[in-house]
Amino acid sequence: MTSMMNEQQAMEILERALAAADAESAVVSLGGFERCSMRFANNAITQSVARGNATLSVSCAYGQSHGAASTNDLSSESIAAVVERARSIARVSPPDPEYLPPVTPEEAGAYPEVAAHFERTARHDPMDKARGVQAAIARAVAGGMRLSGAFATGESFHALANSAGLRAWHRSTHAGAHLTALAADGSGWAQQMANDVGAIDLESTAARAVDIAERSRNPGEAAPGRTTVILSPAAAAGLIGYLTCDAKATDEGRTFLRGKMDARVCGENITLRSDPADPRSPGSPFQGNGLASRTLRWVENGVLRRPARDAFLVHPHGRSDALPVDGNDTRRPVPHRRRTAGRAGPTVAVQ
Amino acid sequence: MKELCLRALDVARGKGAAYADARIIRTRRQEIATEDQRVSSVSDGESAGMGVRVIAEGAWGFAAAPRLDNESVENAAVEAIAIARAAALAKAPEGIRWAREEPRTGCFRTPVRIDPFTVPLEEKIALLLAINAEVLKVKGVRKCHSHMQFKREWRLLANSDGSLIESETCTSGANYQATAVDESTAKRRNFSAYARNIGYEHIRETPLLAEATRVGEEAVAQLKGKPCPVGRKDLVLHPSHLCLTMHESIGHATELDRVLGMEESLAGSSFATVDQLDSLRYGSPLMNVICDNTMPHGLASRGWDDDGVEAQRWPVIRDGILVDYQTSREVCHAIGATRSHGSCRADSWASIPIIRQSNLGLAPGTERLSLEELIGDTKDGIYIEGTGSFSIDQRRHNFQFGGDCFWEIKNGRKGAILKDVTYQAITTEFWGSLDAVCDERFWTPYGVTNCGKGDPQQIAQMTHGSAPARFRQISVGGAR
Ligand SMILES: [Zn+2]
Repeated sequence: MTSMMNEQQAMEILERALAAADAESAVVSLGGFERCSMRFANNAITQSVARGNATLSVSCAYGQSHGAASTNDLSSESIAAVVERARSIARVSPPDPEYLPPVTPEEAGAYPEVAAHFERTARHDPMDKARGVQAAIARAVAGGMRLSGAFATGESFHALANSAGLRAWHRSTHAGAHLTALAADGSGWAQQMANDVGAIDLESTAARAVDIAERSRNPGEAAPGRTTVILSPAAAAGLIGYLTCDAKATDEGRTFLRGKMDARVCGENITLRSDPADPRSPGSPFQGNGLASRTLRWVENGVLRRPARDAFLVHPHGRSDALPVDGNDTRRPVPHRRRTAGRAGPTVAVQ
Repeated sequence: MKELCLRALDVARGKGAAYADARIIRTRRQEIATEDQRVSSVSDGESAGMGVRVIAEGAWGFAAAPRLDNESVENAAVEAIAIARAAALAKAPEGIRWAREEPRTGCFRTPVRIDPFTVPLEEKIALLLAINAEVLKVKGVRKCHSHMQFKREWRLLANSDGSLIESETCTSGANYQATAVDESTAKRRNFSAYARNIGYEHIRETPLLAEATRVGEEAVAQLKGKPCPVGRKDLVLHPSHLCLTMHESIGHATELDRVLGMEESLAGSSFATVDQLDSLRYGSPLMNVICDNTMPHGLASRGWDDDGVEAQRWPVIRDGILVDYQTSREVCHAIGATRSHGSCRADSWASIPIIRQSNLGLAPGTERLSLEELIGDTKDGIYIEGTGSFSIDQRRHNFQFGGDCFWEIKNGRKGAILKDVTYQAITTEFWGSLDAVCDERFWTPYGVTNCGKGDPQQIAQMTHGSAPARFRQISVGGAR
């Protein structure tokens, strides 16, 4: 299919959109992907889907009045129409005191090197996927269990341009599988995610799910009350997001983190940081507004260091002086977190 | 457009498809968001493309592309066949048992008096800012967020049965949230013009502005609300609350694909297994649950589903007994049905159709009963409006629900506001405790627009209506 583009093709479209948008300021972006997934249940493939899309988003502003529009029709007429739609919204919108002008290349800072694109993942074919699923199912059947799950690979790109001269480009690949093995009286779940499909082995992931299901058989009763629990990395990761509340809401007393800035929120052995260039889980080198992604500390030795901030609060032109800024300007850098292992090892203990 | 669909079908059949369908969908969405006296975002997006679905060598294949020209749709058909052939490597031994359906032709349109996309943006923004101003006048309210969302979706479906079906739906909704803050906590209260398939008249006819002061006051009152008691209470639940409880504990539990284990790895399965059809006591004899995709203004009403099956109305629970499921052409054979109920929908041109909840609701009581009379008849209970957080297990059996606003009921009177109420129950015990449902004068539809299911995940919408109802001796306060 043809939804993926190279940098030059994407920038040509963005330049056309910028040229059409003769607003005081404009930000245009183009995001596209192609993805192929196979789903299975009851030891058989049930749904197989290939799809792709690319969407052009345009944001125009006159003074502090702004408007946004998007389309996935990338023809010349459509580009002109979507720009006009964004402009007409901006013209009738009241001024937004929190509006921020486009980020300049100087303000954006240097983008980190992020290696997130792997050719063999981009070229992964449905037959390879089906073979992987077949091997995983065979492993579950050998263990006397029923397997369900999904195996998907994909490729995506994000291009950004604005009227302040900023240009940004990033592409990446993704691969992932999650599996549930069901025994008569137990179940096991396992997942593997990587940017390189070569790092994914469905059969061993299935073996892990089967092993967990085997060990979950004949469960005992847990008495109500307080107890120490040990969470697997996947379960612990699911809770981490709660430590990254919106800064403005926290500042206004609307989240549970109110008043907890620079206070102890968990054990001293816990540090939480995000690093877009971490090769184990690479993120995007830049944020949605074009500012460089940086390594952030969310919790340092148990102390809450900085909740996620709204762009307005940390933008170079925003009221960043109103808050204790540690220089790590960012805009809601939520999706990319990695916990630094403390003394507890790869799991977090919660009392 | 019709020619493009037929071209895709020709290519698919030429490559060996036993069944094929091609869907072109064009969607436009407008969303407006405000925060206090500022318009935080206005966006207007369009998306169009075609999805081609095939059965080849006994397996499914689906491919979707955004470009609507001959070359692109032919490529999509070829790719759908290729992926089906690959999937056949690990297909179910019995293959796909695809229920027969007569060819259909027709056109369905949501009845719309005022097209929301023709209403000036200035009018919409002015209404939202006026609401926020009213809410913020209430002492103790710190914040007001408000939103409007409109969606227009045109679809054309052609399949190898010979069906050619067109539909155009329009969805409109608005909502706002008041947040009150004091020295120790924050509380919220919401009000909505619940999303319906209807035009802008829905926004104009809902008393959004008129209710703003009350909504702000109820947010503030919750700050000083009495804590949720711990123990068993009779619950009187408003339709604005019951919509979510029905959605999670009945709607999802009666999706036949889920019952058959096809959603096991992500969304889970269901306790309401096929062997219990016509025997499972789901709830009390007052419990009658009806699916109705013919409902005017229902969020799932669009004439035909994506299997090309005409919209239907059917009971899934009759007098408390499980009597049917929500089905598709692929799975209806599992309960011995020869025809699907037409519950198979895709959320966009890029998605494969899967079983989605219908417009599903609790039938009103047959005896005359108002909300006041129901509360008047309750000695020691809690009245709940609106939805809050919830949690339910993988089999839709063991759950906990919060809400948006709660009142104590003492000796037949609605009394003080409570805060942080949650209730916990087992699905069949909860519905088994249903002992009164108000009559049809009080039956009100509410909508869910963000139901996630599938992998890749799809977001669907559907309507859940009911009248206020009472549930005896439900465990509350377990989350404290
Ligand atoms: Zn749902």
